[in-house]
Amino acid sequence: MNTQGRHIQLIGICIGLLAAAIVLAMTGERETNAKSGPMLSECDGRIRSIAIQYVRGADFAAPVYRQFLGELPADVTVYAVCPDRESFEELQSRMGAESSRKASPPRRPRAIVTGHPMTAWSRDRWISLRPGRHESAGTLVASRGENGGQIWPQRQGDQRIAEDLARAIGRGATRSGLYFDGGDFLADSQCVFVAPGAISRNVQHTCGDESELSEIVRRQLGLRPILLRDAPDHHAGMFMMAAGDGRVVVCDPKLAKGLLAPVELPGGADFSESTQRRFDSVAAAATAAGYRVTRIPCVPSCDGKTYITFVNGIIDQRDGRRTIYMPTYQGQARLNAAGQRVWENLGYRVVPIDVTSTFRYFGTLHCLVNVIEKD
Amino acid sequence: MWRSRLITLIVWAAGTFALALACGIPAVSNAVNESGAAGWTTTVLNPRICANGIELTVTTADPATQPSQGAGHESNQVVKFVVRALNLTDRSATGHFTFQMTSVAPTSPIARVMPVPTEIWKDSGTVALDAGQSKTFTFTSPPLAEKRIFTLILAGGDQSIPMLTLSPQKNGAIAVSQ
Repeated sequence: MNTQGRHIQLIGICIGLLAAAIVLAMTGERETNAKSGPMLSECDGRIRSIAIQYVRGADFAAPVYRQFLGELPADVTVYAVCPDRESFEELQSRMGAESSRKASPPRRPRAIVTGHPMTAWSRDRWISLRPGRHESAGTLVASRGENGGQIWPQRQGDQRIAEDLARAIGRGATRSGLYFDGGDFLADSQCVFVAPGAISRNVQHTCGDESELSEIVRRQLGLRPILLRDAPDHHAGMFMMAAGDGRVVVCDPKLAKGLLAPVELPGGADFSESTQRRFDSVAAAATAAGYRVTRIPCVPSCDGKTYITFVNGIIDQRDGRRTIYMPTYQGQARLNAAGQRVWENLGYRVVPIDVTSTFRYFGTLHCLVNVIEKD
Repeated sequence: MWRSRLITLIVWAAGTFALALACGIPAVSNAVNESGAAGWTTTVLNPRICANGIELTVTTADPATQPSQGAGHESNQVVKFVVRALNLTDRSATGHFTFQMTSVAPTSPIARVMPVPTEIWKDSGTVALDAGQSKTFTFTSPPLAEKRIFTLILAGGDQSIPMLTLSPQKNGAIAVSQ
């Protein structure tokens, strides 16, 4: 081959490489642009949309939805994820029954019918990430696997809800490589608190140790992780809540001791020193991370899962003021008032939501409602 | 003449372009796999726990039931565990370990979470090994009831790791996972 022929080959190679470089750079840029934002803060921003789940006969959840949806500002979009049309119609009829007693028109949640078994607990199914710089909508992150899915058909169905919901509302969904319940993570705009369940389910299973877990959480949720290894063995939202401006509210059983009215709890109230220590460890971890900590009364039960708690609420921030939809309990006027005072002293408007029908199933309002989008 | 040169140029450019893309695109995708939990997490096939330089791993006795997601274990509702202890240090070492098996089932299909698991079996022991020495021992689980989840937890030093999760199936098999 002559010199001219080799030059032509060389020019061809250069053109090919240049074109490939341009295409790869564009692909790379698109992929980078797809980077999601951080996990939604519990306490910052105006709620734009939420998801609830409902299954036929979920009598424990209906009264809470009735009150909460009745109080929620009208501009919040509510998606109701149901296994079938009948469940959605039952939910509608219950919402209507409540709304007929109010002046406001009945709220009409938008139905998302999944066609598979599920529970009525929305919060643990996925975590919502804010849209990234170049995204128009955020991403829902589901766990690698639901705890108990092996023997619990409803829980197995729950595993698919992030995808069902994302498909229906035009958002992205992704499955994390980590095992978690959504309630294992609790975030403000700076940090994400990680409950013991997410630590024990991942260390030596999806990562080598806690520092590796921290790094994965930081990358996936876009916030500084604070691992609560000595916390009560429950979801974070049962024992603490982010309050904004570098403050967290942490449960304190000893504050409830003198206020608890007689109530039947599984195994009785647990005011033991060992349990108290676990709650105190959460306060200590938050303080060590630079947070100001406010304590609030709480009654854990001896079964370790049934709590009378005032942090398991939903926070909405609009027009410069934060509102907490705070769980309250029938027959516990003194405790309810004490919980309300704590939030009011922090400048919150408090909207009480009676959760007497749900708390014996190990969760209350925050566990039933998952916030999809905030401003 | 000019036409054949143009064709040569196009052929070389297209070939180079295709080759470069084939090599380059996977690298770009992996590098920014945001959802990519798979790129950030791993699947630890044999969880291990270490106390005082002694490392313990646990597997089920049947090779077909190496702990992996969804593996099935034909059994009459008991499982035989193989524990391998290895001294990772260059001197004699002694580690103290506690084995605990817990059992749990949903209290109600509508509950938010499982209740706190109940301890059904517990044992503890000390393993003494020379430098680099390893030792294997076995034990059998108590009978495992259907529709429950059983977890084998090992504690040693300041760690406590749920090593294996077992869930007996209707057909008598026991699914073993981590």
